[in-house]
Amino acid sequence: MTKYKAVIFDLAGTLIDHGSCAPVSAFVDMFHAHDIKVDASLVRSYMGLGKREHLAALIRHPRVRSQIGEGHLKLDKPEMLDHLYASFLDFQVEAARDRCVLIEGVAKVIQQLQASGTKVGITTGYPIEVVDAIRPQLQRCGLPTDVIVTASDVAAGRPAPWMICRAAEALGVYPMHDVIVVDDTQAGVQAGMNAGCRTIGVSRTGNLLGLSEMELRCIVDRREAILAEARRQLKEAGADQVLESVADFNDVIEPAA
Amino acid sequence: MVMLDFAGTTIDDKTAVRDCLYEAAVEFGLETDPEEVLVSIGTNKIHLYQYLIARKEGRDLQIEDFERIKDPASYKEALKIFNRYTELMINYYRNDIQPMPGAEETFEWLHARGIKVAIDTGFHRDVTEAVIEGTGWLKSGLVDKVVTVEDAPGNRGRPAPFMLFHAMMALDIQSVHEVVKVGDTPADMLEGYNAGCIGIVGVMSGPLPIESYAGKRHTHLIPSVADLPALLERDFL
Repeated sequence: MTKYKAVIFDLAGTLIDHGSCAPVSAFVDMFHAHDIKVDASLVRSYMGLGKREHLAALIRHPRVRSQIGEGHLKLDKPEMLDHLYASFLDFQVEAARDRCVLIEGVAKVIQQLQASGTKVGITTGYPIEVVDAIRPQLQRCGLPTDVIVTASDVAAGRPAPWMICRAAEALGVYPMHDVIVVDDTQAGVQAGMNAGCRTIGVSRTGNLLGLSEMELRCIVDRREAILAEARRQLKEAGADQVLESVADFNDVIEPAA
Repeated sequence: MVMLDFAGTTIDDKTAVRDCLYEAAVEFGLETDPEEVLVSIGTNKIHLYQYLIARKEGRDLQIEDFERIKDPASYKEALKIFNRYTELMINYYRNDIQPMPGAEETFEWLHARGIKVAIDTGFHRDVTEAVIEGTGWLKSGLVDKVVTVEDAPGNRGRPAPFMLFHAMMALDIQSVHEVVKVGDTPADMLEGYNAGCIGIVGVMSGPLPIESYAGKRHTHLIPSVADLPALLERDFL
Protein backbone atom coordinates (compact mmCIF):
# COMPACT_ATOMS: atom_id res chain seq x y z
CA MET A 1 0.00 0.00 0.00
CA THR A 2 1.16 3.51 -0.70
CA LYS A 3 1.61 6.20 1.88
CA TYR A 4 -1.32 8.43 0.96
CA LYS A 5 -3.13 10.26 3.71
CA ALA A 6 -6.60 10.12 2.24
CA VAL A 7 -8.58 8.83 -0.70
CA ILE A 8 -11.64 10.71 -1.87
CA PHE A 9 -14.00 8.61 -3.95
CA ASP A 10 -16.83 9.55 -6.23
CA LEU A 11 -20.02 7.57 -5.59
CA ALA A 12 -22.04 6.36 -8.58
CA GLY A 13 -19.99 4.36 -11.05
CA THR A 14 -17.04 4.28 -8.67
CA LEU A 15 -18.16 2.79 -5.35
CA ILE A 16 -21.77 1.86 -6.10
CA ASP A 17 -24.04 1.50 -9.12
CA HIS A 18 -21.96 -0.30 -11.77
CA GLY A 19 -22.28 1.74 -14.94
CA SER A 20 -23.64 4.82 -13.11
CA CYS A 21 -27.14 3.90 -14.24
CA ALA A 22 -29.27 5.56 -11.57
CA PRO A 23 -28.56 9.16 -12.58
CA VAL A 24 -29.29 8.26 -16.20
CA SER A 25 -32.59 6.52 -15.58
CA ALA A 26 -33.65 9.31 -13.25
CA PHE A 27 -33.14 11.91 -15.98
CA VAL A 28 -34.69 9.81 -18.74
CA ASP A 29 -37.73 8.96 -16.62
CA MET A 30 -38.23 12.51 -15.40
CA PHE A 31 -38.12 13.93 -18.92
CA HIS A 32 -40.39 11.14 -20.10
CA ALA A 33 -42.94 12.15 -17.49
CA HIS A 34 -42.91 15.59 -19.12
CA ASP A 35 -43.28 14.07 -22.60
CA ILE A 36 -39.69 14.87 -23.51
CA LYS A 37 -37.47 12.21 -25.10
CA VAL A 38 -33.85 12.21 -23.93
CA ASP A 39 -31.40 9.48 -24.85
CA ALA A 40 -29.02 8.01 -22.32
CA SER A 41 -25.87 8.98 -24.21
CA LEU A 42 -26.81 12.66 -24.05
CA VAL A 43 -27.38 12.38 -20.32
CA ARG A 44 -24.06 10.62 -19.86
CA SER A 45 -22.16 13.31 -21.76
CA TYR A 46 -22.62 15.68 -18.80
CA MET A 47 -22.06 13.15 -16.02
CA GLY A 48 -20.02 14.29 -13.06
CA LEU A 49 -21.57 17.72 -12.74
CA GLY A 50 -23.83 18.55 -9.82
CA LYS A 51 -27.27 17.25 -10.75
CA ARG A 52 -28.84 20.69 -10.98
CA GLU A 53 -26.05 21.91 -13.24
CA HIS A 54 -26.45 18.66 -15.18
CA LEU A 55 -30.15 19.35 -15.68
CA ALA A 56 -29.46 22.94 -16.74
CA ALA A 57 -26.97 21.71 -19.34
CA LEU A 58 -29.48 19.20 -20.70
CA ILE A 59 -32.34 21.65 -21.15
CA ARG A 60 -29.98 24.02 -22.97
CA HIS A 61 -29.04 21.29 -25.46
CA PRO A 62 -30.76 21.69 -28.86
CA ARG A 63 -32.15 18.13 -28.86
CA VAL A 64 -34.00 18.87 -25.62
CA ARG A 65 -34.69 22.54 -26.22
CA SER A 66 -36.47 21.75 -29.44
CA GLN A 67 -38.93 19.57 -27.56
CA ILE A 68 -39.78 22.27 -25.05
CA GLY A 69 -42.10 24.32 -27.19
CA GLU A 70 -44.04 27.50 -26.49
CA GLY A 71 -46.95 25.93 -24.72
CA HIS A 72 -45.27 22.64 -23.92
CA LEU A 73 -44.76 23.10 -20.24
CA LYS A 74 -46.67 26.34 -19.99
CA LEU A 75 -43.78 27.90 -18.12
CA ASP A 76 -41.51 30.89 -18.58
CA LYS A 77 -37.96 29.83 -19.27
CA PRO A 78 -36.28 30.89 -15.99
CA GLU A 79 -38.74 28.89 -13.94
CA MET A 80 -38.43 25.82 -16.09
CA LEU A 81 -35.23 24.65 -14.45
CA ASP A 82 -36.73 25.02 -10.99
CA HIS A 83 -39.89 23.17 -11.97
CA LEU A 84 -38.06 20.31 -13.63
CA TYR A 85 -35.52 20.04 -10.85
CA ALA A 86 -38.23 19.89 -8.19
CA SER A 87 -39.90 16.98 -9.97
CA PHE A 88 -36.51 15.40 -10.62
CA LEU A 89 -35.78 14.78 -6.95
CA ASP A 90 -38.24 11.92 -6.54
CA PHE A 91 -36.91 10.23 -9.66
CA GLN A 92 -33.35 10.54 -8.34
CA VAL A 93 -34.24 9.10 -4.96
CA GLU A 94 -36.03 6.14 -6.44
CA ALA A 95 -33.30 5.34 -8.94
CA ALA A 96 -30.50 5.86 -6.40
CA ARG A 97 -32.17 3.51 -3.92
CA ASP A 98 -32.62 0.94 -6.63
CA ARG A 99 -28.98 1.05 -7.72
CA CYS A 100 -27.36 1.45 -4.32
CA VAL A 101 -25.37 -1.73 -4.74
CA LEU A 102 -21.69 -1.89 -3.91
CA ILE A 103 -19.47 -2.59 -6.90
CA GLU A 104 -17.67 -5.91 -6.53
CA GLY A 105 -14.39 -5.67 -4.66
CA VAL A 106 -15.03 -2.23 -3.19
CA ALA A 107 -15.76 -3.40 0.36
CA LYS A 108 -12.39 -5.07 0.63
CA VAL A 109 -10.51 -2.02 -0.63
CA ILE A 110 -12.29 0.32 1.79
CA GLN A 111 -11.54 -2.02 4.69
CA GLN A 112 -7.89 -2.23 3.77
CA LEU A 113 -7.56 1.53 3.40
CA GLN A 114 -9.11 2.14 6.78
CA ALA A 115 -7.05 -0.58 8.39
CA SER A 116 -3.89 1.08 7.09
CA GLY A 117 -4.88 4.43 8.61
CA THR A 118 -5.74 6.08 5.31
CA LYS A 119 -8.72 8.39 5.62
CA VAL A 120 -11.65 7.92 3.25
CA GLY A 121 -14.10 10.53 2.01
CA ILE A 122 -16.85 10.55 -0.61
CA THR A 123 -18.00 13.23 -3.03
CA THR A 124 -21.08 13.06 -5.20
CA GLY A 125 -23.03 15.09 -7.70
CA TYR A 126 -26.20 13.91 -5.97
CA PRO A 127 -27.90 16.56 -3.83
CA ILE A 128 -28.10 16.10 -0.06
CA GLU A 129 -31.70 14.85 -0.24
CA VAL A 130 -30.67 11.85 -2.31
CA VAL A 131 -27.66 11.07 -0.10
CA ASP A 132 -29.85 11.25 3.01
CA ALA A 133 -32.34 8.87 1.34
CA ILE A 134 -29.67 6.25 0.64
CA ARG A 135 -27.48 6.84 3.70
CA PRO A 136 -28.75 3.75 5.59
CA GLN A 137 -28.06 1.60 2.54
CA LEU A 138 -24.58 3.08 2.17
CA GLN A 139 -23.88 2.29 5.80
CA ARG A 140 -25.15 -1.25 5.38
CA CYS A 141 -22.74 -1.62 2.46
CA GLY A 142 -19.94 -0.76 4.83
CA LEU A 143 -19.13 2.62 3.29
CA PRO A 144 -17.91 5.36 5.63
CA THR A 145 -20.63 8.02 5.65
CA ASP A 146 -19.15 10.57 8.03
CA VAL A 147 -17.53 12.53 5.21
CA ILE A 148 -19.84 12.70 2.20
CA VAL A 149 -19.77 16.02 0.38
CA THR A 150 -22.68 16.62 -1.97
CA ALA A 151 -23.31 19.15 -4.69
CA SER A 152 -25.69 20.90 -2.26
CA ASP A 153 -22.76 21.74 0.01
CA VAL A 154 -20.79 23.84 -2.46
CA ALA A 155 -21.15 26.76 -4.86
CA ALA A 156 -20.40 24.65 -7.93
CA GLY A 157 -19.91 20.98 -8.67
CA ARG A 158 -17.21 19.32 -10.74
CA PRO A 159 -14.95 20.22 -12.44
CA ALA A 160 -14.65 22.87 -9.72
CA PRO A 161 -12.56 21.40 -6.89
CA TRP A 162 -14.83 22.55 -4.05
CA MET A 163 -16.29 19.20 -3.03
CA ILE A 164 -12.80 17.75 -2.82
CA CYS A 165 -11.54 20.75 -0.81
CA ARG A 166 -14.47 20.34 1.59
CA ALA A 167 -13.79 16.65 1.96
CA ALA A 168 -10.12 17.34 2.72
CA GLU A 169 -11.17 19.92 5.30
CA ALA A 170 -13.59 17.50 6.93
CA LEU A 171 -10.94 14.77 7.00
CA GLY A 172 -8.33 17.28 8.18
CA VAL A 173 -5.78 16.24 5.56
CA TYR A 174 -3.12 18.06 3.59
CA PRO A 175 -0.96 18.53 1.54
CA MET A 176 -3.33 17.98 -1.36
CA HIS A 177 -0.79 15.96 -3.30
CA ASP A 178 -1.02 13.33 -0.56
CA VAL A 179 -4.69 12.94 -1.35
CA ILE A 180 -5.92 10.63 -4.11
CA VAL A 181 -9.13 11.39 -5.98
CA VAL A 182 -10.90 8.44 -7.62
CA ASP A 183 -13.59 9.19 -10.17
CA ASP A 184 -15.25 7.66 -13.23
CA THR A 185 -15.86 10.87 -15.18
CA GLN A 186 -13.69 13.41 -16.98
CA ALA A 187 -15.25 16.22 -14.92
CA GLY A 188 -14.30 14.32 -11.77
CA VAL A 189 -10.72 13.83 -12.92
CA GLN A 190 -10.47 17.53 -13.75
CA ALA A 191 -11.81 18.41 -10.32
CA GLY A 192 -9.09 16.26 -8.75
CA MET A 193 -6.43 18.04 -10.78
CA ASN A 194 -7.89 21.43 -9.93
CA ALA A 195 -7.62 20.51 -6.27
CA GLY A 196 -3.96 19.59 -6.64
CA CYS A 197 -4.57 15.91 -5.93
CA ARG A 198 -3.36 12.79 -7.66
CA THR A 199 -6.20 11.41 -9.72
CA ILE A 200 -7.26 7.90 -10.63
CA GLY A 201 -9.84 7.40 -13.34
CA VAL A 202 -12.15 4.39 -13.28
CA SER A 203 -13.07 2.92 -16.64
CA ARG A 204 -14.94 -0.38 -16.55
CA THR A 205 -17.49 0.23 -13.78
CA GLY A 206 -18.21 3.84 -14.58
CA ASN A 207 -20.02 6.33 -16.70
CA LEU A 208 -17.83 6.15 -19.79
CA LEU A 209 -18.92 2.59 -20.50
CA GLY A 210 -22.28 3.14 -18.88
CA LEU A 211 -22.93 -0.57 -18.57
CA SER A 212 -24.36 -2.55 -15.68
CA GLU A 213 -22.54 -5.76 -14.79
CA MET A 214 -25.12 -7.74 -16.73
CA GLU A 215 -24.83 -5.57 -19.82
CA LEU A 216 -21.05 -5.74 -19.68
CA ARG A 217 -21.11 -9.52 -19.58
CA CYS A 218 -23.16 -9.52 -22.78
CA ILE A 219 -20.57 -7.55 -24.69
CA VAL A 220 -17.79 -9.77 -25.93
CA ASP A 221 -16.43 -8.42 -29.21
CA ARG A 222 -16.22 -4.72 -28.49
CA ARG A 223 -15.19 -5.03 -24.87
CA GLU A 224 -11.48 -4.40 -25.27
CA ALA A 225 -12.08 -1.53 -27.66
CA ILE A 226 -14.53 0.32 -25.43
CA LEU A 227 -12.34 -0.19 -22.37
CA ALA A 228 -9.36 1.21 -24.26
CA GLU A 229 -11.39 4.21 -25.39
CA ALA A 230 -12.62 4.93 -21.85
CA ARG A 231 -9.06 4.68 -20.61
CA ARG A 232 -7.88 7.06 -23.30
CA GLN A 233 -10.57 9.62 -22.44
CA LEU A 234 -9.75 9.57 -18.75
CA LYS A 235 -6.03 9.91 -19.47
CA GLU A 236 -6.76 12.77 -21.84
CA ALA A 237 -8.76 14.48 -19.08
CA GLY A 238 -5.58 14.32 -17.03
CA ALA A 239 -5.86 11.20 -14.87
CA ASP A 240 -2.52 10.11 -13.43
CA GLN A 241 -3.65 6.50 -13.62
CA VAL A 242 -6.65 4.60 -14.87
CA LEU A 243 -8.04 1.47 -13.21
CA GLU A 244 -10.84 -0.69 -14.53
CA SER A 245 -12.42 -0.71 -11.10
CA VAL A 246 -11.81 0.43 -7.52
CA ALA A 247 -11.38 -3.30 -6.83
CA ASP A 248 -7.96 -2.95 -8.48
CA PHE A 249 -6.92 -0.12 -6.15
CA ASN A 250 -4.23 -2.19 -4.50
CA ASP A 251 -2.40 -2.09 -7.78
CA VAL A 252 -1.62 1.58 -7.11
CA ILE A 253 2.01 1.19 -6.27
CA GLU A 254 3.57 4.58 -6.85
CA PRO A 255 4.86 6.14 -3.65
CA ALA A 256 3.49 9.41 -2.36
CA ALA A 257 5.43 12.52 -3.49
CA MET B 1 -5.34 34.63 -8.21
CA VAL B 2 -2.54 35.83 -5.97
CA MET B 3 -2.95 35.15 -2.29
CA LEU B 4 -0.88 37.44 -0.08
CA ASP B 5 -0.30 37.80 3.60
CA PHE B 6 -0.83 40.96 5.66
CA ALA B 7 1.87 41.71 8.19
CA GLY B 8 5.32 41.69 6.73
CA THR B 9 4.13 41.26 3.16
CA THR B 10 1.53 43.90 2.26
CA ILE B 11 1.50 45.75 5.57
CA ASP B 12 4.72 47.26 6.85
CA ASP B 13 4.35 46.89 10.56
CA LYS B 14 8.01 46.29 11.26
CA THR B 15 8.03 44.24 14.46
CA ALA B 16 4.60 45.18 15.76
CA VAL B 17 3.13 41.66 15.69
CA ARG B 18 6.12 40.24 17.50
CA ASP B 19 6.19 43.06 20.06
CA CYS B 20 2.48 42.82 20.85
CA LEU B 21 2.65 39.01 21.15
CA TYR B 22 5.62 39.31 23.48
CA GLU B 23 4.16 42.13 25.57
CA ALA B 24 0.93 40.22 26.19
CA ALA B 25 2.86 37.10 27.16
CA VAL B 26 4.97 39.04 29.64
CA GLU B 27 1.95 40.75 31.17
CA PHE B 28 0.57 37.30 32.04
CA GLY B 29 3.81 36.09 33.55
CA LEU B 30 4.95 33.76 30.76
CA GLU B 31 8.64 33.27 30.20
CA THR B 32 9.72 33.91 26.68
CA ASP B 33 11.70 36.35 24.57
CA PRO B 34 10.89 38.29 21.41
CA GLU B 35 12.99 35.94 19.27
CA GLU B 36 11.10 32.88 20.43
CA VAL B 37 7.76 34.51 19.74
CA LEU B 38 8.95 35.17 16.19
CA VAL B 39 9.30 31.46 15.47
CA SER B 40 5.54 30.97 15.58
CA ILE B 41 4.68 33.97 13.49
CA GLY B 42 2.17 33.39 10.74
CA THR B 43 0.42 30.60 12.59
CA ASN B 44 -2.25 30.39 15.24
CA LYS B 45 -1.32 32.75 18.05
CA ILE B 46 -3.47 30.98 20.60
CA HIS B 47 -1.39 27.86 19.97
CA LEU B 48 1.72 29.88 20.78
CA TYR B 49 0.33 30.85 24.17
CA GLN B 50 -0.88 27.34 24.85
CA TYR B 51 2.62 26.09 24.13
CA LEU B 52 4.20 28.64 26.51
CA ILE B 53 1.70 27.82 29.23
CA ALA B 54 2.25 24.10 28.85
CA ARG B 55 5.99 24.61 28.96
CA LYS B 56 5.74 26.67 32.16
CA GLU B 57 3.84 23.79 33.71
CA GLY B 58 6.56 21.40 32.69
CA ARG B 59 4.52 19.62 30.02
CA ASP B 60 6.46 18.38 27.04
CA LEU B 61 4.54 19.62 24.03
CA GLN B 62 5.56 21.27 20.78
CA ILE B 63 3.69 24.17 19.29
CA GLU B 64 2.75 22.01 16.26
CA ASP B 65 0.98 19.58 18.61
CA PHE B 66 -1.71 22.17 19.21
CA GLU B 67 -2.65 21.95 15.54
CA ARG B 68 -3.96 18.51 16.37
CA ILE B 69 -5.03 18.55 20.01
CA LYS B 70 -7.48 20.86 21.75
CA ASP B 71 -6.03 20.87 25.30
CA PRO B 72 -8.73 22.74 27.26
CA ALA B 73 -6.37 23.02 30.22
CA SER B 74 -4.21 25.63 28.53
CA TYR B 75 -6.80 27.01 26.16
CA LYS B 76 -8.71 29.15 28.64
CA GLU B 77 -5.64 30.99 29.87
CA ALA B 78 -4.19 31.23 26.36
CA LEU B 79 -7.38 32.86 25.18
CA LYS B 80 -7.10 35.57 27.85
CA ILE B 81 -3.57 36.39 26.78
CA PHE B 82 -4.57 36.30 23.15
CA ASN B 83 -7.38 38.79 23.81
CA ARG B 84 -4.90 41.15 25.42
CA TYR B 85 -2.59 40.74 22.41
CA THR B 86 -5.55 41.56 20.19
CA GLU B 87 -6.22 44.79 22.08
CA LEU B 88 -2.60 45.82 21.69
CA MET B 89 -2.64 44.92 18.01
CA ILE B 90 -5.87 46.75 17.17
CA ASN B 91 -4.57 49.81 18.92
CA TYR B 92 -1.41 49.70 16.88
CA TYR B 93 -3.18 49.26 13.55
CA ARG B 94 -5.75 51.94 14.26
CA ASN B 95 -3.02 54.46 14.88
CA ASP B 96 -0.12 53.48 12.77
CA ILE B 97 -0.89 51.40 9.70
CA GLN B 98 1.52 51.53 6.78
CA PRO B 99 1.05 49.63 3.54
CA MET B 100 4.25 47.98 2.37
CA PRO B 101 5.87 50.18 -0.27
CA GLY B 102 4.76 48.92 -3.66
CA ALA B 103 1.85 46.85 -2.36
CA GLU B 104 -0.93 49.02 -3.75
CA GLU B 105 0.86 49.41 -7.09
CA THR B 106 1.19 45.63 -7.26
CA PHE B 107 -2.53 45.17 -6.57
CA GLU B 108 -3.33 47.55 -9.43
CA TRP B 109 -0.89 45.77 -11.72
CA LEU B 110 -2.55 42.42 -10.94
CA HIS B 111 -6.05 43.72 -11.56
CA ALA B 112 -4.94 45.27 -14.85
CA ARG B 113 -4.03 41.75 -15.93
CA GLY B 114 -7.27 40.19 -14.75
CA ILE B 115 -5.65 38.53 -11.75
CA LYS B 116 -7.65 38.43 -8.52
CA VAL B 117 -6.09 39.75 -5.32
CA ALA B 118 -6.79 37.89 -2.10
CA ILE B 119 -5.32 38.21 1.36
CA ASP B 120 -5.25 35.66 4.09
CA THR B 121 -4.02 36.21 7.57
CA GLY B 122 -3.34 34.51 10.85
CA PHE B 123 -5.24 37.37 12.48
CA HIS B 124 -8.75 36.84 13.74
CA ARG B 125 -11.59 38.95 12.41
CA ASP B 126 -11.32 41.81 14.88
CA VAL B 127 -7.70 42.66 14.12
CA THR B 128 -8.28 42.04 10.43
CA GLU B 129 -11.14 44.51 10.40
CA ALA B 130 -8.91 47.14 11.98
CA VAL B 131 -6.38 46.59 9.21
CA ILE B 132 -9.01 46.64 6.48
CA GLU B 133 -10.48 49.88 7.81
CA GLY B 134 -7.05 51.38 8.21
CA THR B 135 -6.05 50.64 4.62
CA GLY B 136 -9.45 50.92 2.94
CA TRP B 137 -8.45 48.14 0.54
CA LEU B 138 -11.76 46.29 0.34
CA LYS B 139 -13.70 49.50 -0.03
CA SER B 140 -11.47 50.75 -2.80
CA GLY B 141 -11.51 47.36 -4.48
CA LEU B 142 -7.74 47.03 -4.43
CA VAL B 143 -8.24 43.72 -2.68
CA ASP B 144 -11.00 41.30 -3.79
CA LYS B 145 -11.23 39.02 -0.78
CA VAL B 146 -9.85 38.83 2.74
CA VAL B 147 -9.87 35.54 4.63
CA THR B 148 -9.19 35.11 8.32
CA VAL B 149 -8.52 32.12 10.51
CA GLU B 150 -12.17 32.19 11.53
CA ASP B 151 -13.28 31.54 7.94
CA ALA B 152 -11.59 28.17 7.91
CA PRO B 153 -13.42 25.15 9.32
CA GLY B 154 -12.39 24.53 12.90
CA ASN B 155 -10.39 27.79 12.75
CA ARG B 156 -7.58 25.87 11.06
CA GLY B 157 -5.29 28.49 9.68
CA ARG B 158 -1.81 28.01 8.22
CA PRO B 159 -0.21 25.71 7.40
CA ALA B 160 -3.55 24.11 6.45
CA PRO B 161 -4.60 25.21 2.95
CA PHE B 162 -8.24 25.74 3.91
CA MET B 163 -8.19 29.55 4.08
CA LEU B 164 -6.77 29.55 0.58
CA PHE B 165 -9.54 27.25 -0.71
CA HIS B 166 -12.08 29.54 0.94
CA ALA B 167 -10.78 32.50 -1.06
CA MET B 168 -10.68 30.47 -4.28
CA MET B 169 -14.30 29.46 -3.77
CA ALA B 170 -15.38 33.04 -3.06
CA LEU B 171 -13.62 34.33 -6.19
CA ASP B 172 -14.45 31.27 -8.32
CA ILE B 173 -10.83 30.49 -9.12
CA GLN B 174 -11.21 26.83 -9.91
CA SER B 175 -7.70 25.47 -9.95
CA VAL B 176 -4.72 25.66 -7.61
CA HIS B 177 -2.62 25.74 -10.76
CA GLU B 178 -3.89 29.29 -11.24
CA VAL B 179 -2.90 30.46 -7.78
CA VAL B 180 0.34 32.01 -6.54
CA LYS B 181 0.89 32.32 -2.79
CA VAL B 182 3.02 35.18 -1.44
CA GLY B 183 4.11 35.52 2.17
CA ASP B 184 6.89 36.36 4.58
CA THR B 185 6.92 33.34 6.89
CA PRO B 186 7.61 29.60 6.66
CA ALA B 187 3.94 29.07 7.53
CA ASP B 188 2.97 30.93 4.35
CA MET B 189 5.28 28.72 2.29
CA LEU B 190 3.80 25.59 3.86
CA GLU B 191 0.30 26.84 3.17
CA GLY B 192 1.11 27.28 -0.52
CA TYR B 193 2.77 23.87 -0.64
CA ASN B 194 -0.13 22.15 1.12
CA ALA B 195 -2.58 23.69 -1.33
CA GLY B 196 -0.51 22.83 -4.38
CA CYS B 197 -0.18 26.40 -5.68
CA ILE B 198 1.73 26.84 -8.90
CA GLY B 199 3.90 29.51 -7.30
CA ILE B 200 5.03 29.83 -3.71
CA VAL B 201 6.85 33.13 -3.27
CA GLY B 202 8.64 34.24 -0.15
CA VAL B 203 9.32 37.93 0.50
CA MET B 204 12.24 39.21 2.54
CA SER B 205 10.33 42.18 3.95
CA GLY B 206 9.16 40.41 7.10
CA PRO B 207 10.79 39.99 10.49
CA LEU B 208 12.38 36.61 9.79
CA PRO B 209 15.86 36.02 8.34
CA ILE B 210 16.36 34.24 5.03
CA GLU B 211 17.47 31.05 6.78
CA SER B 212 13.94 30.52 8.04
CA TYR B 213 12.86 29.60 4.51
CA ALA B 214 15.22 26.62 4.52
CA GLY B 215 13.39 23.33 4.22
CA LYS B 216 10.08 25.00 3.41
CA ARG B 217 9.32 24.43 -0.25
CA HIS B 218 9.00 27.61 -2.23
CA THR B 219 9.45 28.47 -5.88
CA HIS B 220 10.91 31.97 -5.54
CA LEU B 221 12.27 34.48 -3.04
CA ILE B 222 11.99 38.21 -3.74
CA PRO B 223 12.90 41.28 -1.68
CA SER B 224 9.31 42.51 -1.34
CA VAL B 225 5.81 42.66 -2.83
CA ALA B 226 7.03 45.52 -5.03
CA ASP B 227 9.07 42.94 -6.96
CA LEU B 228 6.15 40.61 -7.59
CA PRO B 229 5.02 42.00 -10.97
CA ALA B 230 8.45 41.51 -12.51
CA LEU B 231 8.56 37.93 -11.23
CA LEU B 232 5.08 37.04 -12.46
CA GLU B 233 5.83 38.60 -15.83
CA ARG B 234 9.00 36.58 -16.15
CA ASP B 235 7.91 33.19 -14.87
CA PHE B 236 4.15 32.89 -14.81
CA LEU B 237 2.50 34.96 -17.48
